[in-house]
Amino acid sequence: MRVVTCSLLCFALLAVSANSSARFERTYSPRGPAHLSISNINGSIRVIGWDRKSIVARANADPSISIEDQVVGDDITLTTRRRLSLGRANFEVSVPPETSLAIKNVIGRIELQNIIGHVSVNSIDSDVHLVGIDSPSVDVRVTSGDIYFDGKLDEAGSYNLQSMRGDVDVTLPSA
Amino acid sequence: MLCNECQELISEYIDGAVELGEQVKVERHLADCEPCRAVRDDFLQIVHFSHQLPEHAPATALWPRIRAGVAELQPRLWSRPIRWWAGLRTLNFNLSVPQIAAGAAALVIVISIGVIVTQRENRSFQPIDGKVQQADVVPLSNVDVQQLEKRINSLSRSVEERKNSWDPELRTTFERNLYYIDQSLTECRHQLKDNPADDVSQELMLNAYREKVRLLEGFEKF
Repeated sequence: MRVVTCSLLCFALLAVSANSSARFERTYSPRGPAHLSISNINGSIRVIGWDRKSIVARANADPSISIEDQVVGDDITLTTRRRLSLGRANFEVSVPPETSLAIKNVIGRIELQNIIGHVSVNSIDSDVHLVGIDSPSVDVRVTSGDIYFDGKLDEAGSYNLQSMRGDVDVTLPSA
Repeated sequence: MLCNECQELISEYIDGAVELGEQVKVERHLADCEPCRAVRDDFLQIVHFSHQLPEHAPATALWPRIRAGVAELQPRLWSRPIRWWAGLRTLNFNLSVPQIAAGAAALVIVISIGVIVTQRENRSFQPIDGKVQQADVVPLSNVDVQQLEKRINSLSRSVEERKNSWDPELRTTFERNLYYIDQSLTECRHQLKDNPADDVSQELMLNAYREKVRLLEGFEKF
């Protein structure tokens, strides 16, 4: 009877843990302008520039997903790894505006706000929203998805917004 | 989402014409529904094979029939300019010699201004050193295409071996985006067949090939 009860309790615990999503939260304190890389498979990625020096990364991920981070100096890398099925991991990251970003995804919306560092976005099926961008270098490549850019262009800068299937909407200052 | 709702949207979904919310619903349904996946695969095949069909020139009499039909439906569309032209032809131009001379002088001045402005615009695009710049686009040679296709074939074989083990949503995403790229390549090839010196189509085709390599490399790791 005890064995049966214990087994039932174990199964119940497993069921609860399987249904709940995993939460990832880390804070990083780079010494200078940081370089943040996020490599995801399925899910949204949102990076917002704020007025603090630290980088705070939060993610909600399905149980089939694990998120690993690697820090080498001011280079921070967040990578999702799937175990069996294609679960989702949604990232919300706050960074100093001068942080350079390298975002890789397969499926899911990507949103970057108030960034003045270099920006690189590489995805397959994503709508990309870039707002308040004042970067010398922006490289966005998606196979399908809309790209929305609202920011400034530096005359010596390099800008590439590419979508094989989707709209590219660019808003620039009038002067 | 029910099967009939999904199947009504499948054609637009393949064309990339559904809104994001509906797209997510369709993909979730396809992940769990084998019959609807079969319908989707049939559509994809139809689209793929239709692009392989040779183009046929329309019949010579087709455009006159269409034009006559449009004219019958919208007579008022053409009546105003016709009336204006008819009215212009009834005007009586009696000009004196000084008036004719003034008109000719005005015409010469307008043409001169146009020529000067055009020349200034052409000069403004020349680089300061006076040399003419070569176009940045290098014509895509057969060797370039062959190398890219070789790389694509190798990646495709690797991806095909793994595809059956993928999550259905991942497989659908891959197939849909591969279709978009192949569609772009087909269009570029058609354009270049008509005009091999079309720089824009060459650049687009090179881009599409690179995009296909990027897609296959990205999915090869799954």
